[in-house]
Amino acid sequence: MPDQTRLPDRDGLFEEAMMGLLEALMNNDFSPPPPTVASSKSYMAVHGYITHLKEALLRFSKGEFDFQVDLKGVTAGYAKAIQSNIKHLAWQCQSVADGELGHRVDFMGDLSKAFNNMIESLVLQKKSFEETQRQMAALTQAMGEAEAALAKAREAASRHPYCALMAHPETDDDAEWDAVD
Amino acid sequence: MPEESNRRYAFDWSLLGDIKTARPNLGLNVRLEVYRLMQFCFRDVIERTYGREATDRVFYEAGELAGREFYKNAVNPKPNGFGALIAALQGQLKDLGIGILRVEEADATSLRFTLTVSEDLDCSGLPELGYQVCVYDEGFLAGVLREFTGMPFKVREVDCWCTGDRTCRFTAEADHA
Repeated sequence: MPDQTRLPDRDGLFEEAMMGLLEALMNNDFSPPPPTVASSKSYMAVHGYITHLKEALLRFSKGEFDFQVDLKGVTAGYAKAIQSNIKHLAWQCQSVADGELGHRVDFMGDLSKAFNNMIESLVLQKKSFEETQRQMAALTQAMGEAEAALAKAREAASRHPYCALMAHPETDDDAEWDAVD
Repeated sequence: MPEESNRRYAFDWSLLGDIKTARPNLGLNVRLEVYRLMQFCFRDVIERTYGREATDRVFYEAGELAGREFYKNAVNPKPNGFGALIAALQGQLKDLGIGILRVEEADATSLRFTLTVSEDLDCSGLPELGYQVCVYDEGFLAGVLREFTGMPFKVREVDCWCTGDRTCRFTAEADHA
């Protein structure tokens, strides 16, 4: 049985050279392809794919999730899935900032848990704030009513002859004392 | 085309039937393979009979009808904004096992949205085919958005499990034409 894991050259030189190129491609920064392989369409396709993927990951690491990943295939698919999840979280956060607390995030592991806990906490705080506001409004209304009642009582009392007398002692005369009696 | 009054298969929500009563032992659920068996056999026969373009059009329009009926009959109470629509749809699609809906971008002014569906009912786990297969989903999303906004929508799948992506990505925009 031929060894399926080896590339088909007898002395292994091609395989060794290819592995060296791929290692460099994966581990080095954005280095151009060596001139010896620049004319190889298949190598350049791999080089282009990995370089674009590296660019995408670099942008993502800087928080630039709008970067368009123009690649197909499973490896790029995973990168795009990360991008999609983060963009969704950003949209969710903006929705919460706009006051929408009905959102939840599912199936994103720790991120889901933390986001949903945050929302639950905000909902509780909002409820508590609204309850405090309601109590404050009731208290303000009760105070207003009490003040109105007090003003009314003062007004009524001020019309009583005794109070009028006390308020204006200079008008004191027998007639008013008689009225009080 | 038969006249409307002469049609036999006009869709009505009641056609989904009273499943709980009628299937006391087997219940509401059926294996996903069975759904896919039906969908991909439909696709095969319709393409052989009417061609690829017509097949895609049939699936898109069927999805759109399903999306409109789904919104009218299954999304309750009616959401009062796009965020509430998404929250309601996310819950429904998850509970029904249709997929995990997410929003990447939403512009409520120009009515342009980028939506994703993971673990999609139609395509997740399929072999890599080199083309997008979720035409029915495109129509479904267009139908939901049309009912919600009152405007026709064009929805296009740009990434699909069958093109090697792990999440299906759709762009949706109001069709002002």
